[in-house]
Amino acid sequence: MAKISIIAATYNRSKMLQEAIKSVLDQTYRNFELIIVDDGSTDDTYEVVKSFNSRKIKYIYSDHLGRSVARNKALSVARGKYIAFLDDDDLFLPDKLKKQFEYMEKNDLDMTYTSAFVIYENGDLSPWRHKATQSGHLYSKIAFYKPLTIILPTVMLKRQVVEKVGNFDENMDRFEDTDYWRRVSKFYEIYAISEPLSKVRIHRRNQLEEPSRLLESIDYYVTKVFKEDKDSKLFFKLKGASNIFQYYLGPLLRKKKWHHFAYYFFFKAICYYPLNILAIPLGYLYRQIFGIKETNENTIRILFVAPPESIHTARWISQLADTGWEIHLFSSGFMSSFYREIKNVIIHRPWSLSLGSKNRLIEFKGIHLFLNRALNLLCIFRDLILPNYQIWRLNYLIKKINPNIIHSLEFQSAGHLTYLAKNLNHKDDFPIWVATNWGSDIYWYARFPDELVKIKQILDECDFYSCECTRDVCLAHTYGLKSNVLPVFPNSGGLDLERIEKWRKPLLKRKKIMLKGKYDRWGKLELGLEALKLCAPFLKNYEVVIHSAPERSPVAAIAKAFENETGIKTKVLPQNVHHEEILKLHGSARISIGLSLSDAISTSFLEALAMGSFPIQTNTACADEWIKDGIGGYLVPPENPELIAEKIIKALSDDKFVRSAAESNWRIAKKKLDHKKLKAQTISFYRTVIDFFKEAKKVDDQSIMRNILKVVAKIFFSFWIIFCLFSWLIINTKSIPGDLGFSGKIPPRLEKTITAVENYFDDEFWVRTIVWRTYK
Amino acid sequence: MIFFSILIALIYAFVNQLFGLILLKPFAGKIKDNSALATLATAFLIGSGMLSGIWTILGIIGWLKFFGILAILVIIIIFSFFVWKDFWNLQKSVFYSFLKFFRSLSLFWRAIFVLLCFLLVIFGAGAVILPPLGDAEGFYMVLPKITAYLGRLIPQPNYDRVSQIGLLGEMHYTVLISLFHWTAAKFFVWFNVLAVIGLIISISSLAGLKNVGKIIVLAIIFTSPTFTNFITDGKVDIFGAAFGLAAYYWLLKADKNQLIALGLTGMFAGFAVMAKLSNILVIIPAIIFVVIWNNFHNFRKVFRTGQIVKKSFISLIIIGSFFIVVLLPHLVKNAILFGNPLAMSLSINKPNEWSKPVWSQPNLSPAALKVNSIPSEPSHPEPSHPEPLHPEPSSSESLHIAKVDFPEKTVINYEKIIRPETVEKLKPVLKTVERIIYYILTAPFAFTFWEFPGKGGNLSVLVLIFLPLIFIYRSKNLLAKQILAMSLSGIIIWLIVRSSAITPRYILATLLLFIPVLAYGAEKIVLDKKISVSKALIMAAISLILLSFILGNVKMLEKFINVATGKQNEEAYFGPNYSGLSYLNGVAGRTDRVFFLGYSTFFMKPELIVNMNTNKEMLDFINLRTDTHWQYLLDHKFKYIILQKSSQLPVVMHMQTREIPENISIKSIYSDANIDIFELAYK
Repeated sequence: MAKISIIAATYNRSKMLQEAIKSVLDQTYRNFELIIVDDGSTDDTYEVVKSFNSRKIKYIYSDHLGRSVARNKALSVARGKYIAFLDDDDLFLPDKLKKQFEYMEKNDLDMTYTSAFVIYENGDLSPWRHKATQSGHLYSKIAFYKPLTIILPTVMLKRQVVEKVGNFDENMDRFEDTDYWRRVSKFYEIYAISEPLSKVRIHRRNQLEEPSRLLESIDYYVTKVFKEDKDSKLFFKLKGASNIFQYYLGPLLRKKKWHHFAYYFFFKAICYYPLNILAIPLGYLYRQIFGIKETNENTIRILFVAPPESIHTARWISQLADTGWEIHLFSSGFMSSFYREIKNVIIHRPWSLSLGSKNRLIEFKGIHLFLNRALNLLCIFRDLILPNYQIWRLNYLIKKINPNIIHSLEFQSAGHLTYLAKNLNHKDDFPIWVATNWGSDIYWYARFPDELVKIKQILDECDFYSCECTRDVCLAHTYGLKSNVLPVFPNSGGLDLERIEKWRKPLLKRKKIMLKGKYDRWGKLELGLEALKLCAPFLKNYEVVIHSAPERSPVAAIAKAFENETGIKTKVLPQNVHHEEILKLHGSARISIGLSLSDAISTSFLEALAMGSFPIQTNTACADEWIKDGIGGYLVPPENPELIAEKIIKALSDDKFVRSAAESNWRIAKKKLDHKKLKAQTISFYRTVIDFFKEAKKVDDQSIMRNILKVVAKIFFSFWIIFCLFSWLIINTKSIPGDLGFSGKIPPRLEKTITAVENYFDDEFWVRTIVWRTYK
Repeated sequence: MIFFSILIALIYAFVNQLFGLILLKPFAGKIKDNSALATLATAFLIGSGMLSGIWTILGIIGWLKFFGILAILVIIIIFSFFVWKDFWNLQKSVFYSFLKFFRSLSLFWRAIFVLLCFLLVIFGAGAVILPPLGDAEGFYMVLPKITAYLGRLIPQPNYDRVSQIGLLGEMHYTVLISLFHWTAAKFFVWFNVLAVIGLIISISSLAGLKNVGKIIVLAIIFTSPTFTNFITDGKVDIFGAAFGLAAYYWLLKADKNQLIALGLTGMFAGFAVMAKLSNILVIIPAIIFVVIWNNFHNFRKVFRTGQIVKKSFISLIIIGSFFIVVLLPHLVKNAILFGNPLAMSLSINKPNEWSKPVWSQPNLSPAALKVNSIPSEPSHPEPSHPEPLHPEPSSSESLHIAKVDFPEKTVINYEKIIRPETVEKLKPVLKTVERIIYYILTAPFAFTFWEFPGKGGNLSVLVLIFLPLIFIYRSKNLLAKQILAMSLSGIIIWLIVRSSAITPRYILATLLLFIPVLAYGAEKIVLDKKISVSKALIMAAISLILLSFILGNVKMLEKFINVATGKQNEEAYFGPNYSGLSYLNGVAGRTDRVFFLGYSTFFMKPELIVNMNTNKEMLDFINLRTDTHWQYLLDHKFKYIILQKSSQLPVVMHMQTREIPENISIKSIYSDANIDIFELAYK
C-alpha cells in the first residue's frame, strides 16, 4: 500500500497537468499514489493522463462540480498514510515527497507545509517566494488568510487528520483550502519546512477577475468563521474579517473599473474594525521607524550582474543552486539574447526586441549576425536617448529585491555597470558589492587608458574583490584596490574527480593532441598549428583535436589546410559539444596545448591537468600558480613556435616524464579542483561576505534609537521648512518688487494672516530678540 | 550700444580665458585629471588676475590708455594660437558633460535647471541694462571711470582710501570703460559669475554631490540676493567670491601636496585677498588648517609629527610664495602711490573711514554737527586745480559715530556656579564668550533675514531651510569634511573677529563654499525613492523661491528687451541721478568745480569728478560760521552745488539755515525729485 496519496484536482488544463504529473512521477521517493480527479474537463486531459501509462496514477472523472467536490472524491479513495495535495498548474520539486515525508515521520507530525518557489505561466522563476517560517498552533495566523497563507501543494498531512477534520467545504469555491487549514489548526499543530519543495504558478489572468464573486466568497467564509469558531474572541474575528477585506483593497484599487468594489471593501473593512483607519498609517510609521521590510530578512539574496551567455557565469552560479538562497541574474549587456540554463535563478532580462524562435542568421558580405541580435542593435538608439537606461534598471532592481550582495562577474561591462549604478544610487544604501575579474579583465585591458580608468573606479568602489589568480590580486593592488580580497580559487566550479577518474586512459592509449581553438585577439590557434607543423614527423599516429573554436570562425578551414599539408588527422569540435565529451577527449589525449596572449587561469588547462593530459600552456596565463615549468607541464611564450614545437617533441618522446607529470597534476587536481571542495569554498566565499554584512547589520540593529531620531528629525525638518518659508514670505512680501511680483497685491486672506503674525511677533521684538543684533 | 557692450565684454572675457590657458599650458599635464569645467574657470580666473596685475602696473606707469590696452590684448591673442585647440577641446568636453548632466535629470529637475538658466540670462540682461547702484555708483565704478579718463592710476580726492585696497575688479572696469563703455565693464561681472558656477559645481562634485545636488546648490546661489545683487549693481564682490572659491577648490585638490595645486591655491588666495580684503580673515586660516589636515591624513598611519610639520611647512611656504607674487602689483602700487606697500591692510579695522566719504555717514545729524563743531577759523582758500588733492586723514575725527553697547550683565548667572569674585574677574571674558555664542547662534538668521545699511543682500532662505540637515546627513568623504570645516571655521572666525558686521558679501566665497555641504542633505532626501513629506516640501520650497525670484527680477529682462528692440532709450533706466547729473555735464565746463553734497557721483563727467570738492572742504564748509561759508565756496572756485536729497537731508537742512549774502547769487538751475543743482556766482 502506498505511503503517500497525492490528490490532484484538474479542470481543462491538460498541458500544465502534464508537467505537474511529470514532476510527481520524477519524485525520488517512490511509494506514493497519484489520484487525479478530472472535474469535468472538456479538453484532452484524459489522453494526457493516459499517456503516462503509470500504475501509480488513479484517474477519476466527474461532472464539473467544483474543486472542493473533486478533492473530496479523491480523499474518499486515498489509501496512503499521508495525504499531499497538488493543483494541476503547480509542480513538485524532485525531493518534495522524500524530504517532507522523512521529516514528518521522524518528528511524528500531523501536518507540515513547506516554502515554495513562485513561477510565472511560462515557467520562469518569479522573485517572490512563499515562505514557510511559522510552526505550532497557527489558528490565529491562518484563520483569516493573513498574515500566514498556507499554499495547497506545499501541504502534507496524516490521513487521520482528514478523518478527524472532515472534507473540504463543498459550498466554497474560494478559500476552501484556508478554511481547511483553519479547521485543522483548531486541533493540530502545523509545522513549517523552510526549504522550498514546490513550485506554485501565478497566472496573468488576475484572480480578481470577478470581484463580486470574491466578495461573496469572503462574506461566506467570514460568516462561517463567526459561526463555527465561537470559542475565539470576537475582537480577533472582527479584526481578522476587516483585514481580509483590507488585503484585497490594494489589488482592487489598481484597476479603475474595480474602484467601486474597492470602496465597498473599504467600507466593510471599516465596519468590522474601525481602528483599521488608524492602523494603516501607524503601520507605515512603525515600518519607517523599525525598518521592517516585507521580504524575509533571513534569506540570503544575491544579485549577479554578469554576461548571461557565458559558461563561466553558468558554472559559478550553478554551484549555489541548492543552497536555498535567492539568486537573481541581471544581464550586463543588452546584446545578450542567449541565456544559459542555470537552475534556481531568477533571470531579469533587459527589454529587447525579439522574434523568438525566428532567430535566423543574416549573412551579408562575410558578416554573420542573428536576426534577434540585429534587432537588438536598435537598443543602441535607446541608449543614445537614455544613456542611463541599464543603470536605472539595475538600480530599480536593487531597490526592488534588496539583495544582500551584488556580485559582478567580469569587469568591463558588468563591473562598470555596477559601478555606475552605485554612483547613481546612494552609496551608503548600496548592497555589498563583490567584483570578480575574469581572465583578461585587468591583465590585458589595463593597457588601454580608458579601460584603466574604469578598472580603477571599480577597484576603488567595490567592497570585495575576487579573481582566479594571485597575479590579478597583485595587479589590482597596483591599480588602487583597497577593499577586502576574497580567497583565490577557480571560478569554473571544479570537476567531479571520482566520476572523471575512469575516463583517464593510460599513457599508451593516449593518441590525441588537444589544441585550444580560440581564434581571436588573444587566442593563438595558428601558433599552435605552426608548432605542430614543425613537429609533424612525430605526430604520425596522433590525431589533433581542436576544441573551443568560436562559431562561424575560419578555424575549420585552417584545420583542413593543416591536415592537407601535414597529413595529420585533424578534427574540429563543434561549439555545442558536451562538456563531458571534452573531458573524455582530454582523458585520451597525450598533450593539451593552450596558447593565448592573455588569460587568468584557463579552464581547458585545468581540465587537461585533471585528465592526465600533458599541458603546454602560454606563460601569459597564470598556469605557473598551478604547475612548475618542466615538471607538471610546459609554460611557453606565446610568440615562439619553434620553442613550442621543441616542447611538444619532448612531451611526445619522454613517457616517463609525461607520466610523472600526470601523477603530480592529479595530486594537484585532487587538492584544488574537486568540485565538492570548490563548492564548499564558493559557499564559504559568500559566507565571508555575509558575515561581514551581518556585522554591519548588527551595528544597524543597535541603532533603532537612531531610526526613531531620524523620523523625529524628519518631522522637525518638515515643520522647519514650513516655518522658514512662512517667515520668508512675511519678511519678503514687502521687499520683493511689486509685492511678490504678481499683481502688486497679496491675497487678502494671506495678508490678514501675515498681519496677525506680525502683530503677534511685534516687529521690534522679533528683530531684537530673535533675528537681529545691534548694528554699529 | 548694449550689443556692442556685450560683444566687447565677451571678447575681453575670451582674452582673459586665453591668457589663463597660455599660463596654464606648461602645467597642462599636471592638471589633466581635472574636470574641464574647473579647468576653464581656473584659466579664466588666472587670466583675469594676471591681467589685472598688468593693468595695475600700466596704470602706475600711466599707459593705461586705449592703445596701450589694445596692444596687450592683441599680443595675448597672437600668442594664444597654441592654446586654441585646448580651448576648443575644453569647451567641447564641457558641452558634452552638460548634455550628459541634463539627460540624467528627471523632468522636475530639468525644469528647475531651465529656470536657473533663465535666471542667469535675466541677471546677464540686468548686468548690461541696469546702472551702477549704491557703493558702485559712489566709488567702485567711479574710480575706474576716473582712471580710464586719466589713463593712469593716482590717488584721487575722496577716493584715496579706495585706491589703497586691491583693485582687481576695478582695473578690469577701467579697461573696459577705456575700450568702450561702462556697460561693458558691468557685464564683465557676468563672466565671473560663470566662473563661480563652474567652480561651485566642481567643488560640489568633490563634496560628493550628484547632479541633483548641484542643481540645488545653484538654486541656493541664485536665490541669494547677496550674490545676485552684485551681478547687476557694479560692485566687485563677485570677483572676490570667484577667486576665493578657486583658492578653496585648488586647496581641496592639493591633498597630495602637488606643487601645481599648492601654487594655484596660493595664487588664487592672493587674488581673492586683492579683490576683497576681508577674504584674508577666512581664506588664510582655512589654507593653514587644510594643509596640516592633509599632511596629518597622509601620514596618519605612520604618525610622524616631524614629517607632518616639515611637509606642512613646505606646502605653506609654496602657497605663501605664490600668494605674495600675485600681490606684488598691488604692493608696488601702494608703495608708489601711498608710500606704504601695506597701506590698506594696516587700517582694516576702520571700514567706515575708507568705504565712504566722510559726509555720507548715516549717523550724521544736525544736532551732532552742532555739538562737534570746530571753532571757526579763518578760511584758507585753496585754488581750484585739475590734479587731485590729498585730504588730511585726521579730518574725519570731528564726526560723531553712535555707539551701541551690549548689555553689561551676563546672561547666565555664574554666581551660582562659580565664586562671585572669580565671576567678577572673569566677567569680560564671560561676556565675550556669551556674545560670541550669541553671534554664532543667531548668525543663520542674521545672514538670511533682514536688511540694514551696507548689508548688500541676504543669503537665500534655502540656506536656513537646509541648515538642520547638516546634523543629519553628512558625507563621509574627506573632501566634504574639509569643505564643511573650512566654511564653518571661516564663518565663525568672521563672526568673532568682525562681530558687528554680519555682511555676507565680505565673506561671500566662504558662504558659497558652505552651500554644497547644505545641499548634500537636501539631495539625499530628494533622491530617496520613497515619497516623503520633507522631499515634497524641499521641492516645493525650491520651486516657490525660485519662481518668486524670477518674477521679482524678470523686469530686468523686460527692460533689456525694450532697449534691444528700440522701444526705449537705455538712458531711461540709468537711475534717479542720471538726468540731473547729465544736465550738469552739459552745462558745466571742463574746469568748473562742483560742490557735491551727495554720494552717487558716477554719472558726472570724469573731469568734474576729478575737480570735485575734497572731504576737507566739505568739513570746513559744514563747520564754518554762517556768514562766511558761501564766500568760502566761491573762494574755492566752486561754480555748482549739487544736492542729492535722499541721502543728504541733514546737510540740506543745515544749508537752509544759512543766509545768503547780498553780493552772492545762488540760482537753482535744475531740480527733480532726487537732485537739486545750484549755480553759485558773484552778483
